[in-house]
Formats: sequence, C-alpha cells, structure tokens
Amino acid sequence: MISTLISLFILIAIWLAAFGLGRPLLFGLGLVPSHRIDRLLWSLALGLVGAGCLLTVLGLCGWLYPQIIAALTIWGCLEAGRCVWTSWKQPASDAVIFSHEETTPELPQAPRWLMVMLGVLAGISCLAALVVALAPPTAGDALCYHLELPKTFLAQRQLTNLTYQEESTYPLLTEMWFAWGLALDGPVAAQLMHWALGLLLAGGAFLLAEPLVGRRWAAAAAAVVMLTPGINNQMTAPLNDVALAAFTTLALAAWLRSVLHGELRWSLLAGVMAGAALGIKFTALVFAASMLGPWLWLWVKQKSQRPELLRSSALVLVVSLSVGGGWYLRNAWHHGNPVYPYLEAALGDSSGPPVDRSEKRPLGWNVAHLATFPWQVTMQPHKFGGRGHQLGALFLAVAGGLLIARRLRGLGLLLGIAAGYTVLWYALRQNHRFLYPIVPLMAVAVVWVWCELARFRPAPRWAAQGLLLAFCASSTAISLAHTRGEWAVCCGWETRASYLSHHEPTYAISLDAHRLLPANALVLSQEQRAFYFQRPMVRESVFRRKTNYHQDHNSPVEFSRYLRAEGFTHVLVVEAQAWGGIRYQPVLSKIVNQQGGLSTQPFVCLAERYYTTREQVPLRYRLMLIAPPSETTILAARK
Amino acid sequence: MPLKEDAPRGRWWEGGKMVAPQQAREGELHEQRMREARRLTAKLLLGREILKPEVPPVPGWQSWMMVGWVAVVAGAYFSMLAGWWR
Repeated sequence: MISTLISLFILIAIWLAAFGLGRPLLFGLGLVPSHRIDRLLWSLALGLVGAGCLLTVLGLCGWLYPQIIAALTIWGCLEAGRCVWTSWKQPASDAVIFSHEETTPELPQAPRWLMVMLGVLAGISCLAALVVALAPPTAGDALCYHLELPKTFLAQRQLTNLTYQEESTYPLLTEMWFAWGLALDGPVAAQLMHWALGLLLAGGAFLLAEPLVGRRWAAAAAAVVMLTPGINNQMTAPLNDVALAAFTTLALAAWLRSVLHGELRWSLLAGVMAGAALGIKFTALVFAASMLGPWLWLWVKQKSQRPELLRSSALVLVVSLSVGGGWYLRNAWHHGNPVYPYLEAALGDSSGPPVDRSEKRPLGWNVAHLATFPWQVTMQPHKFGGRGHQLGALFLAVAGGLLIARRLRGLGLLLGIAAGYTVLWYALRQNHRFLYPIVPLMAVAVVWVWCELARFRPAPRWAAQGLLLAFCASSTAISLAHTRGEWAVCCGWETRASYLSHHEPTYAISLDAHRLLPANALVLSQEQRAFYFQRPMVRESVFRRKTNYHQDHNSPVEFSRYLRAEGFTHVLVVEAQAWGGIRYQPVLSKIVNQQGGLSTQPFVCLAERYYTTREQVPLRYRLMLIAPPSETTILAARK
Repeated sequence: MPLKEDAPRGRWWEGGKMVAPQQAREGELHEQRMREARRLTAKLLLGREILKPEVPPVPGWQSWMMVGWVAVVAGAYFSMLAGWWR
C-alpha cells in the first residue's frame, strides 16, 4: 500500500510541477481563459510540453540525472503553490491580463439525470483504469521500448542512438515524461503518467466541444471519450497513443479558437500543442495531412478571412516545427531520413525494419470492404489490433443519427478531418489504436446527436437514450472486468514482485540474470521485453536483420565464437512450446539446440524458467553463458 | 445559436452576460423578423400556425428508423461481448 501511495504522490507532484511551469507560460502568451477548468487544462498541457522539452535538452546534453529532475520537480511544485496562493489572494478578475470570451451556444440544456449518469459511468471507468495502472506494467510494447528506452537513457544519463534498438531515434516526447516518472519513482509512476494523459485527453475533448455545443454538453463529450473502451484500456499501460490523441485534440481545440476569434495567440498555442503531437509519434503527420482538405475548404468558403487563416496556419506550422521538429532532425542525423523507418524504400534503403506489412491491413480496396468497414471495425476488433483497443459500438450506433440531426456549425469541419484521417488510416495501418486521435472529434458528433434526441417524440427518445446509455454502461463493465486481478497489488495485499512473477513472463528469468550475470555482461536475447533486465540486452531479431549471422554461422561452436568476437557474453533463448498467442522466430534457439549432439557444448545453461501465458502457451526461457573457447574444451573434458 | 440556418454570426455570450451588445441586438432583431416571416409564410401557404419553426420535431418514422439502427448495433455488439464472456 505504501508503494501505491508513493507512486500516486509522485504522480501528483509531477502534474503539480507541470502546472507550475505551464501557468506562467500561458499567462506569458497572453491567454487567460475565463473559466478555471480551461485555465487548468491549458496550463497542464503547456507545462507538460515545456517539461518534456526541458528533459529532452537535458538528455541531449548528457545531464539526465535523477537529482536534477527531482530538483526541477520541486521547483515546479513550489511555483504551482505560489500560483495557487496568488490567485487565492487576488480575485481572478483582477489577475486577468487578457481574457477571451468564449462562445456559449444556445442549445437545449443537457438533462441533469443524463449528466449524472454519464459522469458516474465515466468516473467508475476512470477509477477502474487507475486500479489497473497502479499494478506494475506488463504490456509488451511498453517493456520492449516505451519504458525500456527511458530506463536506458537514465542509466546512460543521455539520449543516445542505440544501434540495436531502432526506436531510440523515433519521436520520444512521451518517453521523456515516462523518464520523469521512472527517475522519481519507478515503472508504476511512469505508467500513471499515461493514465493521467488520458484525463488530459478527456479535458481536450471538453475544450474542443465547448465552442460548438456549450460547456455542459462538452462535459458529456469528455465522458464519451473516457467511456471509449480502447482509450480507457490504454490508460492502464505506458504506451503513447492516448498521449498523441490528447495533444492532437488540444492542438485542434486551440486552432479552432484561433479561427473563431481571429487571435494569433491561439495559433501560437495550437502550434505548441501540434509540436508536442509531432514529438510523440509519427502518426501526428497523418493527422496533419488529414487537416489539409478541411483547411482548403475553409480557404474556399471564408474568402474574407483568408489572410488571417494563412497567418494563423503559418504560425502553427513554424511553432510546431520548432517544438517537435528536433526529433525529426535527430532521426535524420542518425539515419539520413527524418521519418525513419518509414519511406525507407522511397529513399532507396532497405536496412530498416519492415513497416509496410499487408497483414496490418485486413481490409482491401473493394466495394464490399469499403461499405462494411465501420461495421467490421466495431464487431470484429480482434482483426484490428486486438479487442483491448476497440472503440466500442457507440460511434457506429450514432452514425445513423447524423443523417437526422441538423447541421451544427463547426461539426462539419471536425467530421471532415475525421473522414480524411480515416481514409489515411485505411490506406496505411488498420489498427484501432491509430484511430484514437479522431475519437474526441467523433465524441462531439455523438453529443450533438444526443442533443438532437430532444426533437424526438418521447417513446423513440427514451428508447434511443436507453440504448446509448447501455453502450456506455457496457464500457464501464469492461473496465471493471479488467481490474479483477489487480485489486490485490493496488491495495497492497500482494507485493509488486509477487504480482510480476505471476503476470510477467520475463520477471523470474530477469531476477536470475541480475543474480548470476556480471555487471559487464552483454546478452543476445530472443525476448524483446527487456525492461525488467538489469543488464544490457541486444534484440536477436534486429541483430539478425543487420548481420544475417544465421547465413554464415550455422554450427553452435562457430556461432559461439562469432558471438564472443562481437562482444556478447550470454544468450537468452526463449521458445513457445505450443501454438497460439506469442511467437518467437526460432533461429537462435535452433542453432543453440544443435549442440545437444556435440561433445563440446559452447552454450552453458545457467538458469531455466517456465511460464504459461493467458493463452495457455508454455514458454521456456534459458539463460546461457557463451563459453570462451578454452572453457569449451574444459567442459568437454569434464564430460 | 450554433445552427447554421438560425445563427447570426458574431453573437458572443459569457456566463449569461452579453458582450458586443450592439452586434448581438442586431442579430436578435434580424432573427425575430425572420421568425415572424417564416411563421407568416407558413400560415399563408399551409393555413396553420407553426409554433416553433426553428426547431422542427423529427418525423416519427425517422426517429424509429434511428432507434431500429441503434437496436441492431446493440444486438450485434452485446452478442459479441457475451461471446467473449463465455
């Protein structure tokens, strides 16, 4: 329980520090929204971007010391305390430097009972996600690189280009926030950062919907985002899709304000948020591309506002490239391609990892697939990246309502962006996770249709509302179902080590590695989930792709000599002993297993562990010493 | 009003307090005149009074079509969820 409380305390401290940094920046931009919640959300977002950039600079300079990070956090917390004290002493109206009035549309007020129900369901889902996020991380991608990279950077005190970990040159702003959590507490605090970014995403949806549907319905839009099963589920793991969605939404919300109010300050803020999105993931470029069509539409329609539109867009572009462009320069510096490993074929290089795989696009370009894809995406989520990432059925159900609803000013623009993004999604990578940036946009449409239900006669209105609420309740039920195995570790009834030994396949063998291996060991590993290992690991799949070792070194003795010459001291061999779920390329294990018939054994097993996955696939882990040639002879003599 | 057909541009509200009153007042007058005109036109052409011409109710068949669609989606989705549960 103490460790849970410490992790929560660190999370609060980090976000308080972000507020302490962001609030003066917001005031400095001359933007002080009149509502407290708006001020809080923009301050937090701006503070996170500022802190992320600061950590990046520290990393590039080789000063990524936990002590420096802790000192900056304490300073941020003190600054936040000073801001709160000042605003308490001085009424908000006096403190306002520049206040922009928000439009509050006149729509039928959201019924109180509906707001209460949505609030309760979203609140329960959010708390359920918190319970899961308080358990130590076990998500595959997180342990492969989202946490592994910041762990390595913190160990080396700097952002380095890791030859056998290509993700080390990707845009890594989210990973810098995870490094913040890792430096002050550990993996749970890092994981909680992503949970809190989910709250920021809901806040972004609120800010996006506010000028279109008013504050109350905007709160309903935030609840709809929180009740999206995939988003709620991803808040429980330290990945980066929710973070990306949060910042694309905030960028769009700020840009909409700049278009509505004609204020360049909002464009500046939109640029900062867009830069953060660019710094999180390459997918931000796809989102930017999807805005091109609606932007041209605005250009054609709003003839009188063309100069302002051009000025604001140019400002967004310049500021976003200044904030997020550094990551692309870094990638270009190391690989000669700012978006490596994408577009490698176009640049005539095929040494990067394969990224354009047809199995990632289960739907083709034919009429049947195009006509039915919203249905398939909703009803067959396992085909699109797994049911854990599903969007739920609310959006599909409400799509029909858009044909009946009247036109809402601004909604067409949002749906145009969503449609453009979906086309690119369909063409590039059909995975639910990549649809998260348009969830807040679709949530505004959901809320508008819900609002339009007021024009229905009572019987169909109640029927439709009941069914829509049933979708929301099912999402809450899914979130609660995910907490089944996590309550014990969250409440302290089970230790984190015990939880990991039951839920994380690599945990037991990583403890063996920590106990048996010298500090200067270098391990060639078939397992990519390297986070819990305290020794440097090289991914066998990347090493094989870069060296093609399996073509030149087939025999175990020859192969062991080659590995020794390359500086490796150990290998970690893992084999799935049944079909289903997790799969490993058996190249390394096949070579190692050939030594069974030899009199001299160049690979000596130091530890062996078994783990059975949820899909009932037994995994066999073997940690093996690559015996030096002299030892190989001695071992053979002993036999 | 945010509705395309009804909303005059440039109406700004903040917490119930109107700002840019001249602009808003002009918009309001314009809106009132438009409502009157619509009401009069409807009365002349249809021979009946329309109380709220700016917010027409959704025809019953359209509402039930929408409910039917939502019910179909709900049936398919919840049966899928039930399949996972088993």
